[in-house]
Amino acid sequence: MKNVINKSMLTASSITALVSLLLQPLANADTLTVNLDNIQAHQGSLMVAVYQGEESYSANEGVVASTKKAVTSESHTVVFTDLAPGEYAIKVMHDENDNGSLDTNFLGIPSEGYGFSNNGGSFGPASYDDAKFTVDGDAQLTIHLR
Amino acid sequence: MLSRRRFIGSSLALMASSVTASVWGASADSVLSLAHENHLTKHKWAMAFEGAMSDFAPLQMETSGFWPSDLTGFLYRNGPSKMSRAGTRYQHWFDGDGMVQQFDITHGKVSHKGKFIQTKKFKAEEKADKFRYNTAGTLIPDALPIRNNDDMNVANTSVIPWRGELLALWEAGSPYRIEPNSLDTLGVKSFGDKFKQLPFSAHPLPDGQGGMWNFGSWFVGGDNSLLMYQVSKEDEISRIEVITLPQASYMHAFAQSRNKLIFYVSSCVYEEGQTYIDAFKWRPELGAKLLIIDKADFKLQQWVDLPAGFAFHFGQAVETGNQLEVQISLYPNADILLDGMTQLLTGKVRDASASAEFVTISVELEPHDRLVEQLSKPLVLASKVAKLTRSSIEMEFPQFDNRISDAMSPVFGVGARINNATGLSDTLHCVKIAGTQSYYFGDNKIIEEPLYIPAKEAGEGYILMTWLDYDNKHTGLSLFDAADIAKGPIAEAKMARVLPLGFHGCFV
Repeated sequence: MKNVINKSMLTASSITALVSLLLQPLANADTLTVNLDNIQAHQGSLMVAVYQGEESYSANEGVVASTKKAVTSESHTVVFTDLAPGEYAIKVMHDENDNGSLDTNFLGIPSEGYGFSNNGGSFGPASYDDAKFTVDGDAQLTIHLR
Repeated sequence: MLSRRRFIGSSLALMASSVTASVWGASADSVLSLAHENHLTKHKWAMAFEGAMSDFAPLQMETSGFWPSDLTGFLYRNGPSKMSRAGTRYQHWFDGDGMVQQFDITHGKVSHKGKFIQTKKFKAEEKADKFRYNTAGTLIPDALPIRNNDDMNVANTSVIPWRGELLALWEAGSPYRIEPNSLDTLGVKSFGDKFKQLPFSAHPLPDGQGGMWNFGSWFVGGDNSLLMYQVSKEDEISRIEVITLPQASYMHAFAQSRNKLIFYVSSCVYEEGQTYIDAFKWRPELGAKLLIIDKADFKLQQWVDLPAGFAFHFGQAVETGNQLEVQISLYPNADILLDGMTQLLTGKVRDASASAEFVTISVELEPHDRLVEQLSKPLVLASKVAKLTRSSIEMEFPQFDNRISDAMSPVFGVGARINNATGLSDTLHCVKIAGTQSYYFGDNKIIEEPLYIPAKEAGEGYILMTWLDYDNKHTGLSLFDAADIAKGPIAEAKMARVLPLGFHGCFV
C-alpha cells in the first residue's frame, strides 16, 4: 500500500512535471499588443523597447524584446509574442529622421516623439513605477506618443 | 536600441517637470480649471479678461482728432486671448492662447483685425474642442503629456518685426512666425536644430547690428540657468552662454546700456509646485541681485546685491563714465504674479496686489580688468553697493526711444489712480528730468502699453496706445504727441469690439 502510495505520488509528480513542461511554451508565448497613437510626423521609425525590472529600465540595458517599425500613419500596432508572465515597462521613441537617435536640443530636450507604457511621466520621463505593467496572459495596451 | 541614455535621463526635464499629477495636494482646487465663475457677480471690468471666441474680421474704426499723414503703418499687439473652452476656464492671465491684433493706420483711417496664433497647442485644442494641455498657471483634467516646452507654448506675450515677418513671442519656448498682412501663422521659428524649443524671452533687445540680444531662463531639474543669446541679422544664434544664477528667479525682461546687458534677479524663485506659476515662491530672505553682463564677452559679469523685490520690466539703462543707471518698475513683492493675475480672471472682488514703483538703480561698474580677474574665482556679490532712487510714481509697461543713448530720455508708462478700486491702469505717465506729466483717461477705461514711435529726430515722437472702455464696450486707440501728453490725445479711433487686454506690441 505504501508503495502504491509512493508510486502514485511519483506518478502524480511526473504528470505535474509533464504538464508543467507542456505548459511552459504556452506561458512564454503570451502576446502583448501595443497600440501606438498620436504619432505626429508620418515618417521615420518607431523603436519600441520592452524592459524587465527597474534597473534595466533605468539603465536602458538588457532589453527583453524590441522592434522597429516604419511610420506611415498616425497610429501603429506592434505585437510581442514571446513574453513570459511578469512585470514589464516599455519605452518608445519616434526616430522621425531615421538617424538612429532621439534628437534633442542644446539643453537635451527631445524634439522627436516618445512615450512610455501607462502614459506616465506627464511632464517628463516616466519612472519605472509609473511605466510598469504585468503580463499574465495575452495583454493589450495603448501608448500615446507625445 | 534606445541609443540615447538621455532619453530617460534628467536632461529630459521639461518646463514644468516639478509638476507631477501624483503630487496633488490639498490646494489642487486652486489651480484646477474649474468653471466656478458664476458663483459671484462679476465686475464690468471682467470683460477685459474673458478672452475672444474667434478671430476678428477686418473692421473700420471710428476716428477723431488729427491723425498725422506721416504716421502710416501697423500697430500689432499680442496677449492671452483664449481663456476658456467647453466650460473650463484658465486661472492665470499668462495661460491664454495668443492672438495678434493688427491696427492698420493709413492716411487717418484705422481698421482692425485679429487672429489667433495657430500654435501646436491651439490647433490640437481646436480639434478636440477642449483644453488638452496644462498651462503656466492651470492644471487641466486628463491633460496630455508634453514632449517638450513647445507643447505648452501659447505664444501670447509680445510680437516683434523680424526679417520681413512677425515673431509672436512667449518666454519659455520658441517664437511663432506670423505673416504681417494676413496674420496667418507661418510656423515655429527655429534658429537651428541645436536651438529648437529653447526658452526665448518676449523682450529681445536690438543689438545695433541688425540682430538682437535675448535670454531664456531654465530652472528645471535643479538648474538655475540663464541662457544668454545674441541672434545675428543673418538669423542665427551667433553667441550663447549658460550663466548659473545664485537663485532661480523669475525673469521677464532685461535692459541694455551701451556696453552692458542688465538683469534683475528677483526674490521670486522657482521651487516646486503644481504648475509653473505655482512653483514660484516669494523668498525675501534671498534678497535680489543685479546682474550686469558685458556685451562683448558674456562671461564678464558683475553682480550687485539688492534688497528683496520683484520686477517684470525695465526702462532705460545709461552709462556715464563708470556709473550705470538703470530704470525699473519695481514691486515690493511678487503678489502680482503669484496672486494678482489669478484674481483678475475671477472678475470679482480684487485684493489689489502691490503696484510697481518706477525706480532708478545706480551702481559703479567694475573695471574690465577686475571682471577678467573674477573669471577664475567663485561668484562674488556685492563688491559694489547699489543706490535706489525712488520716484513715488507707480508705473508699468515703461516705453521710451530705444535708440541707445548716453542720456536718459523721457520714459512713458501706465499706472492706476490711488482711488481706482480695480488697480487696473487708467493713467499715462511721462517721466523726465524736468518732472512728470500725466494724462488720466477717465472712469471705466483700462489702458495698455504706451508704444513710443520715434520721429526722424531723437526726442520727438508719438505715443500710440490701446484701451478698453468697459462701460461702452469699446476698444480704442489714442495717439499723443510725446512732447506733451498732458494736453491729451491728438487723435483717437474706437470700435464696438471688446478685445482681450494684452501685454506687448510693436509699430511697423
